Amino acid sequence: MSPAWHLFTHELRRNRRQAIAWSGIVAGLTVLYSLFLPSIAESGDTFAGMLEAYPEGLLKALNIEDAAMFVTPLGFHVTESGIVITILGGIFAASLGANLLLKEERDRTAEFLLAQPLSRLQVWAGKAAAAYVYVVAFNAVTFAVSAAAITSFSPDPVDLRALFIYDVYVLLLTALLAALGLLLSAAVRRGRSMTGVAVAIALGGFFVDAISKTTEQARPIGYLSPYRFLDLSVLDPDYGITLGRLAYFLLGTAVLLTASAIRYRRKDIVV
Amino acid sequence: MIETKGLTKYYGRTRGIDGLDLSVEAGELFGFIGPNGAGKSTTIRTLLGLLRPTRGSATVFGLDVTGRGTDIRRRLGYIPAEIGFYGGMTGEAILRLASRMHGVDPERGREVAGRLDLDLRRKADELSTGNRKKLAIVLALQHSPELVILDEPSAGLDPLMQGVLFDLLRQEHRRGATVFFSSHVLDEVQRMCRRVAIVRNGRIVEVAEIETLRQRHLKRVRAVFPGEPPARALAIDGVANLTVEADSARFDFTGPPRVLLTMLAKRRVVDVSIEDPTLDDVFLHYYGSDAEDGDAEAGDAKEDSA
Repeated sequence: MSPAWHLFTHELRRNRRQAIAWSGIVAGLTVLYSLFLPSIAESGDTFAGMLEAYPEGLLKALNIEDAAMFVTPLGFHVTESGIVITILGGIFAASLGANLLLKEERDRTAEFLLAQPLSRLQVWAGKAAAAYVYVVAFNAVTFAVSAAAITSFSPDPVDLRALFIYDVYVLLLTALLAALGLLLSAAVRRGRSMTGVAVAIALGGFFVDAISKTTEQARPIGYLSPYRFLDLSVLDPDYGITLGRLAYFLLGTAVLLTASAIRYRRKDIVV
Repeated sequence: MIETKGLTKYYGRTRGIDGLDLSVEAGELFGFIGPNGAGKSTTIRTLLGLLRPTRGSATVFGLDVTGRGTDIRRRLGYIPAEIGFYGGMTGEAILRLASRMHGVDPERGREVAGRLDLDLRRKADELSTGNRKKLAIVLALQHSPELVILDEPSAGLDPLMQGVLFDLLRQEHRRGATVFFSSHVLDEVQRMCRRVAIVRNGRIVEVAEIETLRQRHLKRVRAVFPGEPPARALAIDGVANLTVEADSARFDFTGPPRVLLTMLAKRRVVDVSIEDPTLDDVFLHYYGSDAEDGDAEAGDAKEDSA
């Protein structure tokens, strides 16, 4: 086995607890939200009517595409659990990426690691691969728990294909945010904790998108946020991964990862 | 073994090393000595590939440090001045990780740990400074490297363990390894090394055998005068570190004794003493006032304290 493989497995072990904790919290909240599904279904029309009295911009800012959607199991999930999953998932992915390289400098372990027979690119790749294993695992757990919880608590049948597509969008979002974190980790000069920055990125991105939905004038600023490119129209019969959105997430992730790798290869490690 | 030409590293506008030329032969016990902030750690970290040179070149084993770092590090052991280890991992787990990365049996590392009386079952974040240093030594020597680079290696070790470390290094040297020993403590360099480079303000100011340095024509002079010493007259070529007191002057003199004696003969000298310097005097002569005046610049002080 190559040294890079040993670094990869080492990184998997190192970040295991963090990944389990974040996945557990999001899974728990998803189950909690799913407990509301029977009562939402029961009072569906009344609740939908009440929501229709709210301004459209406000509903969109709250992730509610339309009132009728909110009272369906999948619509409620995307709206309520979706906020939790995308914000917490975003914080998890961004902070995982952002601390991955910097932690070595902050904890003064960089001199141990970088004295090993590994190239900078191997170090970067070993760590990035471990981070993406956890990003994928987080999303897999989220999908599995969401599917189980919604089908268990919803009195109506649930379109699991639409749920899966929605979770693929969340996977693409978290992959992009992890790449953004990795770029920060490679670009910041000295090892300070980037958790606060990661929280700001995820929350900031979410709220920029939310504000952009309130009025037509604010709409352009939404394009600054990757949350803008999530497709929440789970009730649309043609709901799927569109090429434009897929290209945005994949190209964005690829550009950020490439920039991160290039920057880290040339980075001065000052511990 | 190690060759640098005009090696320069700036941290932004702050000097780390500037035009450093160094050559270390295979099989040497080589000392690298200078005050904090002189550029010792910057040099080492550039050789290891942690820092990219601003200018100049460096090779280790004939391989360029910027392009062949992986091949260099495979054959090199490094003991940093201070090191952190992954929290929650035992010394044994860290040793196994390093052994796997080098593709060697961890048994050799366990032997070194035994020599250093280090309990590898303890978690690294529970280890004292001295035990962390011992673990760093174990990790540096576990793969029987061809070159051992040490940065302030005895810091944190008690005198007994310093002795064990020096024995281990001599053993590595007998095996054929080259030892590059960086320190600001002259005594330990003197104990270990035959040849030494003195670094000051990011440049090499002298490379010589320890014994040659000691025997250089540097003399410590104290002259007593009937009144105030003629400071300006004393400041001839070869005089350094001149200090004037009420009726006496002290200075270092480098050069032909004839010049010194002629200069003194022209003055009304009441008493004179001319002594061979201690190695510390030689060292301070090269340091000048830098050792005290905090010449260490921000980035360099940062790196040398690490």
